[in-house]
Amino acid sequence: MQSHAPPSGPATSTRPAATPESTRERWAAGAKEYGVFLFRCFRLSFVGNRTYHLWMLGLTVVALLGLNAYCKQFVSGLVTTGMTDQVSWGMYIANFTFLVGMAAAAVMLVIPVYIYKSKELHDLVIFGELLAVSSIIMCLMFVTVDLGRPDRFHHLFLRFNWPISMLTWDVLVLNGYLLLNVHICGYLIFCAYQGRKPSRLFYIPFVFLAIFWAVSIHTVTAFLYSGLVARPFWNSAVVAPRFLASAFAAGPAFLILTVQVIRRATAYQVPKQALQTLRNVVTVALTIHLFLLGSELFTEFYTDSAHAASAKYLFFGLEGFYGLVPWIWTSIAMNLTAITLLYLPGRENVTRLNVACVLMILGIWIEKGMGLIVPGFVPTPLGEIVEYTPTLNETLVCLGIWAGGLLIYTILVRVTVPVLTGELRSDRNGIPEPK
Amino acid sequence: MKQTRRSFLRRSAAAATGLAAVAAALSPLRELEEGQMPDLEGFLQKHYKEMSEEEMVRALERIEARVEKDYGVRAQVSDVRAQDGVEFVYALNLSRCIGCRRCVHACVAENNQSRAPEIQYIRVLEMPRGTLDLEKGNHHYDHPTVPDDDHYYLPVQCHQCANPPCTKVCPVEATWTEPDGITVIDYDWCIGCRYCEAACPYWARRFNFTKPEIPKEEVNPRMSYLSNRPRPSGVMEKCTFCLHKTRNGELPACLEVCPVGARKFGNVLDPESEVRKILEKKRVFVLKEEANTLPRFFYYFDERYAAGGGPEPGGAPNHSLPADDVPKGSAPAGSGEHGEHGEGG
Amino acid sequence: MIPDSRSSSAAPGEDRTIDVPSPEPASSGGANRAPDGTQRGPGFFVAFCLLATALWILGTGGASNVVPDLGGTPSFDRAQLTTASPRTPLAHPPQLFLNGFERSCEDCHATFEPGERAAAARSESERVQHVDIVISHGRNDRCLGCHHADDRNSLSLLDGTPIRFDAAEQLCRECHGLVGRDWEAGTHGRTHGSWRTGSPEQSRLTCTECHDPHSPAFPRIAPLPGPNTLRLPPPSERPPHSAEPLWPRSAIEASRVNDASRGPH
Repeated sequence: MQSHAPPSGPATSTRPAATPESTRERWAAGAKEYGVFLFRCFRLSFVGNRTYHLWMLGLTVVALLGLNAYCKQFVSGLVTTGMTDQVSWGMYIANFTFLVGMAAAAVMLVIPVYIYKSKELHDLVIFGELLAVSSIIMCLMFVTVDLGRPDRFHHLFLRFNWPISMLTWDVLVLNGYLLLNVHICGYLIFCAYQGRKPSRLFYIPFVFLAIFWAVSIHTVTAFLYSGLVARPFWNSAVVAPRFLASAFAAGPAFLILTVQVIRRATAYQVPKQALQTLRNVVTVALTIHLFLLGSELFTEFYTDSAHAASAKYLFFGLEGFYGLVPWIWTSIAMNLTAITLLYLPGRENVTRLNVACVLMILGIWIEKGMGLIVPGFVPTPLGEIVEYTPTLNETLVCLGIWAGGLLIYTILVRVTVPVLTGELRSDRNGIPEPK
Repeated sequence: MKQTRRSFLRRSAAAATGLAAVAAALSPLRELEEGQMPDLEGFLQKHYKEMSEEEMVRALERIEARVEKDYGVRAQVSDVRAQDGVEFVYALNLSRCIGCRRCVHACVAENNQSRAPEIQYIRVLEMPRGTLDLEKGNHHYDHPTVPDDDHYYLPVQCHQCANPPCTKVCPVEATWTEPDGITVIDYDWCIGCRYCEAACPYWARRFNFTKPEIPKEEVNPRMSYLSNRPRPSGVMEKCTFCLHKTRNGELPACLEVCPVGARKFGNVLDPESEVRKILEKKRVFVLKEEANTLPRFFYYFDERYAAGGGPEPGGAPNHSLPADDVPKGSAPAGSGEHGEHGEGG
Repeated sequence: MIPDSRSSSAAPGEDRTIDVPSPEPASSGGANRAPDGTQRGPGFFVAFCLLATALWILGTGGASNVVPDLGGTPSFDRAQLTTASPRTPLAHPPQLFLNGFERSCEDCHATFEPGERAAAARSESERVQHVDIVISHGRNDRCLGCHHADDRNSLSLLDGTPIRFDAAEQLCRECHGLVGRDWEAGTHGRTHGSWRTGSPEQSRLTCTECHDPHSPAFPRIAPLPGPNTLRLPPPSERPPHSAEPLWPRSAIEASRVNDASRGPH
């Protein structure tokens, strides 16, 4: 698997490693080299062993099913989803919210690396940021499929209700975060591909900006909900910190799993120490998350005001409607099990860590979807109780987007690893190809 | 050589089937109806507030053509603007409302709402006596006749707030409050994110989850851009106080149909208007005042009139009725039988 | 992850002429190559899977297949959406169509002797004419409470002043003072035509255009259909609305205890 010889471009024969004569020529040469790099990446993404192919094929099939489901929705309208005027946001926005958290989580790796100069996490940052890129792309897809009139998307550019509408803030921070991370990853990877040391000026300021930005994307997303007087369940100052804490648990947990896949499937060696650092991050974040959740629940249930109706519906059912009760208790059980596993002695056990991570990701996903978005709509502001069940078509769209996102993440990781290990190198500067 | 040919074959097979799968996935798009996607002119149509007069005329013509195509009805679509010195206010007398839902369906008929899936702007809540908690209200009451003795009725529709939570969340300014106090939506600008629907504390906004269905013979051909023209799929809509009527001096459809006169509408800036008198003289309240939405929709109660036809303060004091054989202290049979409604006003 | 096809390939030289390891999109089955260099399966396997996916997708049908039953509003008699005034009161003088002739009240009542006229005002049980009229007006249960004793074409104020039938509100407000004042201010009753104060289109319905003076309370009526919005379960599956008592408050306490003992399910 590791004996693969890196590609050598046709450039070797067509374009000698010339010294550029002018800025313009240097730019042209750089652009051409970048094009070659992208082309190589594209070709490389089709190359892999049987597991890789099966994985990619599976994702492609699911993504195609999702695309088909979305086309049906596009033609018939959102009536194909389980959403109603009573519950007007559903799985799409729930997944969007969860994925914003995943995207924000990349910062948890950046902070120790660049502020505390943590060596062992250094190599992981790039995978975290790639995760951020794919997550944001998924977020944007989830928002798009939730729109009733995606054909009017350009209206955002023509009359942008900024700074009044929190949704415009979200559009700005999400796209800004995407650009930041694309720039940071793209720059670092391309430098590695060229075999030169990245210029600090070109990425360190962006890294620090990205740190603040990551906090902002999840804060702004929380403000989407917490700023609504109509929905007492969301109208709480704790929503934003809760979002951050749960994101900083679920995101690194996902990375812990990814890192192990990378370690097994590629030549890339991630230091063991990194896993332990990530475990600490996850443990602390999950603890804070559960504490904040507890604070919220205490306030709701001890106060026992009329505003607790949504929380009652979520945890105990309301007037004969119990749709979310099993989900939320499953989520709570998963999170409690995960935190117990993380605190018990002998927590260095990797299998146990993996179990905790899977439980935590699922638990937080349920809690942000079924547990946060949907109960905000039940009962309605007029007290009507209508339950929400996603339809098959809606579920297919969600699965399709997840498959598409994972497809993107797999490809990004798949081309990044050989660059980092030096297997995929530019031949422009005459750097000898490692065999 | 064989190797290359085989590899080419495999590559082509994978690429071809891949394309086939993508084509199959996209195949539902063939079902897009003509006109479902905007044409170039529709695509370039500006925001309501930015359209020049000629552009508005063209937009109205497009809408008329669309309506004729979709519903087979020649419609008159106008763009009727707010008048100076007018701020509309609605007042609803809870002592009178009997919960008959005439307003709900008159509104649907006037405003060309979708019949299937059903879209209605007015919700009538049947409230148990002794509470104003909306969660205690029953939306689906189904008695043979109303009013029911143990309940009162609370119709809710858009409150046309002066501090509306719905307009401020809209990312594209597709909804705004007009100078006369009516919150409107440009149905050709809305992107359908439903954020306003989540933001409304009165659940007054509705979404077109698919193309609205209106029987041809029930289409109201008198339409306006901002109110009752048929909505496209995928956009929000809401009560506009029937602005195509009210801006021409008429009364909203829900008021006109109310059999008990529980609904009052007018210009609050006019000191002689009925609504102004109600605000000055009656016990008035708004829903969810703590939300600070400053609604332009008020609820009020009548004073409890003396029941049973006895003389009231302000009436002729203690005249005896001319029929000389009225037994003294005869119990007024059947009077006040269902609270305020039974009172012989 | 990176295939070993290059090292094990039978024709490395051929592949080395291009920049990327394998020119085979989506089908490089390096791990699947037989030692002799022939290639099997995966390329065609991928193609087969994609083809199956295409067929599967086509088999799921079109966009209309995923549209649920839209339900919608049950039909009802649209004549009920009338905006006309609920009643048409008698004009002045009242004209009745009796035995094929248009008559006023006095056409008959003038034939009565003055003594008999008083008798006509007796209580309901003694009434021999107009027996179809049901009087349910509280204490005001005598004909002459409103009708003029000597001139049946007029109504009568309390002091005996005759008033026209189309000015009945003057009579009504002698007892119903508060409502009368509300009506005058426009805060009671129905206004037609326009919201503009003083506009010629604006008209305010009078008492008897809504209320039957013999039985002024509004009759109960059947409500129009309730909501049947998208994806609402059919009425039979909508759980009964909570009948939790609101008062006496002590009963609420008791029902809470019962709830707690029953548990959430």
